Amino acid sequence: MNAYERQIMNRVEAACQRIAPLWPLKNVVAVNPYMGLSQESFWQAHNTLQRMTGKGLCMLRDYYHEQIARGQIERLDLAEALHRLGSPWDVPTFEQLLAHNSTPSSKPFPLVTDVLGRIDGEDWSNFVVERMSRYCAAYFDVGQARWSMPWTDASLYRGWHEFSRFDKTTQTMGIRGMRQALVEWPKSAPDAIVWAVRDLNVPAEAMDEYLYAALLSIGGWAGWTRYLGWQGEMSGTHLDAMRDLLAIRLAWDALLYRVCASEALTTHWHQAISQMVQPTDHRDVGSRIDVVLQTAFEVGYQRKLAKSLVQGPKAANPSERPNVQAVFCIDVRSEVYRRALETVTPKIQTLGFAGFFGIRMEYLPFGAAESERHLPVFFNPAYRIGECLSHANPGEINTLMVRSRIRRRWFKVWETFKGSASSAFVFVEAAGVWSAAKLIGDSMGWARPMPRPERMGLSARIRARLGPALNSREGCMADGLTGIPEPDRPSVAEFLLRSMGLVQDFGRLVLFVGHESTTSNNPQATGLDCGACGGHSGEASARTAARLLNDPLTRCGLMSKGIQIPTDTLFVAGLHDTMTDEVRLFDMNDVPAAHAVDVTHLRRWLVTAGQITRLERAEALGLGHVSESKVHSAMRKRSRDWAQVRPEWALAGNAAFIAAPRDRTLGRDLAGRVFLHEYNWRVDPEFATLQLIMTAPLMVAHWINMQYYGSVVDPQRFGSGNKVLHNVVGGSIGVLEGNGGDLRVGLAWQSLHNGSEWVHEPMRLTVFIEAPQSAIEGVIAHHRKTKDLIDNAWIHLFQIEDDGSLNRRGPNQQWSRYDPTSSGSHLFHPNTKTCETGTVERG
Amino acid sequence: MPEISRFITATLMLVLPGPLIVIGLGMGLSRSARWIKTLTKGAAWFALMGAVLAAGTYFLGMSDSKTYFSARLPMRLGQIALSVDGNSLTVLMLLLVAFVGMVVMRFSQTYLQGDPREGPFHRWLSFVLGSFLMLIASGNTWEFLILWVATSLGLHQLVMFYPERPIAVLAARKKYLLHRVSDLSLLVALVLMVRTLDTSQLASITRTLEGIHGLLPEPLRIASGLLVVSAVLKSAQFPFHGWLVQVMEAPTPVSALLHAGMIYAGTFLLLRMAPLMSRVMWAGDALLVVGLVSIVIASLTRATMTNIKGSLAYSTSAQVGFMLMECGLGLYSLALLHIVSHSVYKAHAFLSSGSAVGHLRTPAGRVETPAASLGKVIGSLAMAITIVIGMSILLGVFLHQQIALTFMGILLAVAVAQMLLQAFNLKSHDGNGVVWITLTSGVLISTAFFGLALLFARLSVGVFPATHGSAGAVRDGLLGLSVGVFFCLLFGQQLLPRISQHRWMQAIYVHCYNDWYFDVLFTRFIRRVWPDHAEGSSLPSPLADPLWEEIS
Repeated sequence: MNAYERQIMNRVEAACQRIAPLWPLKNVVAVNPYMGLSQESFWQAHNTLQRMTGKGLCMLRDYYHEQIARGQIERLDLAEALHRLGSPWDVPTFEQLLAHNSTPSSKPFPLVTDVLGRIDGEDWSNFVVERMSRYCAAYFDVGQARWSMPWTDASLYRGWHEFSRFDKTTQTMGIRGMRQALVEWPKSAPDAIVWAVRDLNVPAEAMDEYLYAALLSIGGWAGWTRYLGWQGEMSGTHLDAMRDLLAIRLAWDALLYRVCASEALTTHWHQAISQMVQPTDHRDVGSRIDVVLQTAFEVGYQRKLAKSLVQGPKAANPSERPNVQAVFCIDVRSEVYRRALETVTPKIQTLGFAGFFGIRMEYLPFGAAESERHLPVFFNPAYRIGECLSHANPGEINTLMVRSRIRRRWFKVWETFKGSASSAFVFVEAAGVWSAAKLIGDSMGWARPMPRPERMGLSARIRARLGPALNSREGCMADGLTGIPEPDRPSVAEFLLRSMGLVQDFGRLVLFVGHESTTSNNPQATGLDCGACGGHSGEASARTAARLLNDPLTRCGLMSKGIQIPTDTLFVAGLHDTMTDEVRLFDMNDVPAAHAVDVTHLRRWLVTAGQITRLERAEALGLGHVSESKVHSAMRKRSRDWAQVRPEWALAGNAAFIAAPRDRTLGRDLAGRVFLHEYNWRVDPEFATLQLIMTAPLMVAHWINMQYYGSVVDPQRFGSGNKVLHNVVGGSIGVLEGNGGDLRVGLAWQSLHNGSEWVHEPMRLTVFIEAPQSAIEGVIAHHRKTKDLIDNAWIHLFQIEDDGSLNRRGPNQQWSRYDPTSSGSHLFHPNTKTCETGTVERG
Repeated sequence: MPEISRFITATLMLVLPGPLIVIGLGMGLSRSARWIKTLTKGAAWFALMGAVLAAGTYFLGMSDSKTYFSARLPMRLGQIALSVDGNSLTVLMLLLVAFVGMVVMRFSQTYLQGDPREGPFHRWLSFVLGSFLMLIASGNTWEFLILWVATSLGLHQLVMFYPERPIAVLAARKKYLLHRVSDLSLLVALVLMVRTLDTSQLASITRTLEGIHGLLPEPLRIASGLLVVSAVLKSAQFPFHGWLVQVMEAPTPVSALLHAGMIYAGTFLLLRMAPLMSRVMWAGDALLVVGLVSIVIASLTRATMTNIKGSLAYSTSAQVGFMLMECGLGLYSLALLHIVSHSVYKAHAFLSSGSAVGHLRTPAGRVETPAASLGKVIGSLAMAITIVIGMSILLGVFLHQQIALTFMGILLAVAVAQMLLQAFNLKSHDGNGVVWITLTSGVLISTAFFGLALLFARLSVGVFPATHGSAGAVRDGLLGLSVGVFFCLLFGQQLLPRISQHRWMQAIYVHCYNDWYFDVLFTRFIRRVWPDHAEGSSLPSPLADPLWEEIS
């Protein structure tokens, strides 16, 4: 490889890094679709995307007009936004400009197929996406096809080369010579890329963008290959699937350019690409207006939130020991429930922590051969925990295992009988008619919800006895070691407790509440589960944490680490069903008699809190007309409804992240829009926990926030379209919209829109951290990714002082006092300082 | 029996689709989604209740046909009439479609909530369902023809529900074109039949035909050919099946309704015209060939499909091919059984297609590689044949009496053998558990197969003409070919792991996965005759983005 080629390959690598991974349907994890752009400032990224795709990071103008009309954006906010952006405009000038300006439009970066399409009227770009998507689906298929593609052992690119040699589609479309061109075309991906950019004469200045545009045109599958690459990186292997995908896309461009060669094509292509090289004028007024509007929209929310933080009720100093400390996931849905629980009784104290409860584990479901990662996607698991049957002897377990294996095999035999060409017809004639019963059962909701697929095929009695085991091979027959070795337990427990700031004043009960969501017939169901548990139910993590801390050995070890857990403290695991707001408690048979009363009280409180939460959520779910006593059954019915495309609103509306003691937010209605992480810097002398919060939970919240942002702002590219057209592809890879097209990423329209308006408001995450400024700066200085996030304005960072006052970190890394209660009149005057949009101004 | 009660079934059958059609025609209604939803729900319940009552009264014997209104037509075209035929075919079909329609309706009520065109969706759903129900009950040829066209046009609206999606428009146009050709064939066929037989009532056509012995007159033979054309074009058979696959560009319930109802319109037509069809041997042979080709190609393509809805659609194409084959063989009651079973099966499969991921979330055991051997194949075939013959004797089905039945028996044996083979291949250290379950299932399946076949034969006595013993050399040859095809499918499946890397198998794989390119040609043809490929819609989709439109 010569220097030129190496240089191209470096650029290919860089382009690949700009695509965000896409997790499979079996464990959907929210991903920031813009993660590859985080090294640019937010508004630079806006410009980049605008140029690449024609759609930046702002909503259409109508949306903002509507927000102004509804008072969501006030003049005050516009003034603040103009001030923050360092704009020379004042509010009246801005309003005048706004009145005479409409959303700017721009054309996306062209590929050869776009240019060719413009010449002969055939939609070649979509044709290529269709062909590639079809090929990728076959190559990556994990269970839909019965006859799998013969080249799955070859590389993605090589397989395509072989596949295409038989493929007559292009020829049928009326293009001659494709086969011959393909025979001459290189069989290795790097060569193909080099050939393509050489043949197409892509100028060096446009190279990065051309490669990026090529990947974006098949962005869904690019995301899938990035996911595979990500999995590879986590386990230390390197995968070239994404480079191969890019090579295929470029090959299409180059081969079509070759076989459809004409004077017109050459001229138009060179014209198109050279236009893209010329510097564009980002000083365009329309674009700047959008920037101001989006900022003002966020400022408006910040002001209201900050006001409630500053002005809200002061927490009374708790004097007596709480009966229960309940630890919930930071998920915004927990905020509503926690608030409800606290109003039920002052004897409960609630905390927020990432729903994997600090246990980095992979979980091996009962009878499974492979384990699932139940932890945030940035981490590698440290332990493998097996799901085991309690109070069981080896004989019973063995019987169950054999039975479940037979059942699985029989299921496979039956599925093949239903589907294979030689038996499908007889199947229909002999057994198809039983589907009538299934139709009735499903239509009336009797047959659902089915047990979670992870536990399919086990009876309810057996399911109730399953749970994670701390000791290896205790009631599970897994190969290899499982559980957490005894010497490790105290340090795992210490990490867990210190991270959630729970090192003293333990209550009689400490409840760890994981969460999951019960829905029916929902391909994206796991997207509603716990993201911190890697898109799984939070049950296993909560139960493991509780078992770990009830373990006498752990407690003993903790003492030497300075954490004294009273002997009358019991850890209990629970599971919050975010669909119905029911909280289930686990391992209740093991509760000592002394705690029986506490548990009884707790149960009662949970039931009441569940009802309060449901009533709060009912309106948004369109159940506002249902009487209070029926809301519960209405929500249960909803969870069983196989036609329900809006089971719950999940994290729609998320807008802020607060890391502070609960006292700061206690009694405030945060409307289920805020991630709450418990943090008390006074018990974190080294700021190790602060560092953790700012690098992991904050990052997770930001990813979720941006997933929602992208799905609303650019639903075509970063959203997964209309649920009524969803078509599961490759077994459990993802969904297509309708008949084909690219693999879809992000969230569906129904998850964000209620039919009359967007339920999610796209805004960057506003972050409040209660910690000394120096400590926060310390973390920023040492963590590149966090620094990018903050310095590049992908989030808004505020600091809470001890007295509750607020400081805002500006883009020039300066902290300034932020007073949400001031009228802001000083802001109405124009200024000339340069700051945040410096980048917009400079282009 | 009192005079009036003789017509209870007919009256019910006439009335039951009424509300659905009225809602379907009421344009203003669709403005309020809430209103139209309440109304359609009521209408669908009404239709279902009506169908249940009609079935009940029919089996109590109150089943006379009735004509409510009629007008003479010129040119010896008989009369056009609002007329109802109550027989076990129409009653069963009504019950089936009303039931599946009800389920689909309930499903859509929640599923489409919040769609900008929610109202029109329910309106068109109502219309399609109503007119299809009326088509089924219809006893007059011209009424049949009008409803035949109306149902298709209504369905067109549903398939085009997202007119901003180019593939949806393309699929709708393909369907539109094929259906119009089908309409034309049916029209000509009906003209020929009515003028030859001098009656336009379906019931009297049967009676008149019984009076003609020997070879049928030329016009009737031509008519039967045209009926084959009309039915085949409605049935999404290769190579005109592309639209069926692409219809998933419309909401899931549309697919469910289509696959559970409208796609059988062609088969239903053949069943209605069975007295004529059974008299023209070559028409049956043609159906057999068309069906067999679709069975093979659609089944193979289906095996390569990577998305769930595509897989279901190809499966439907093959299954309808099988029904046509059964019609061609004169196994009308089996074809009816197949319609009923497949309809409920496919409706459920489509509506629950979102649950597909669940199977892959179940904990995976260790991967087992099946190993087939010739001995196992022969052994399982022998066992399957024993089971099938044994069960047929026990249940009193005489497979050897009719060659078509023998054929079905062989298919059953092949299917059971397929299942047994899998169990043998998977045998492992856990003992023979799976084998025993499979053997039991084989017996149960054979029992269910023969039991249901007997039941449907019983139900349709007098509706379908009895089929004759021998049917000529061409038919025997075709049957032999079909048996060969099914054996090849069985062996091919077993051999696949070994031969899939061969060059020619690779080629077949690619061509199958690409659907043998016929649809690409058809697409190009459609684009040429119907150039603008995205109709300008005034109704913005929630997902359509003006910026995006500017670009494209």
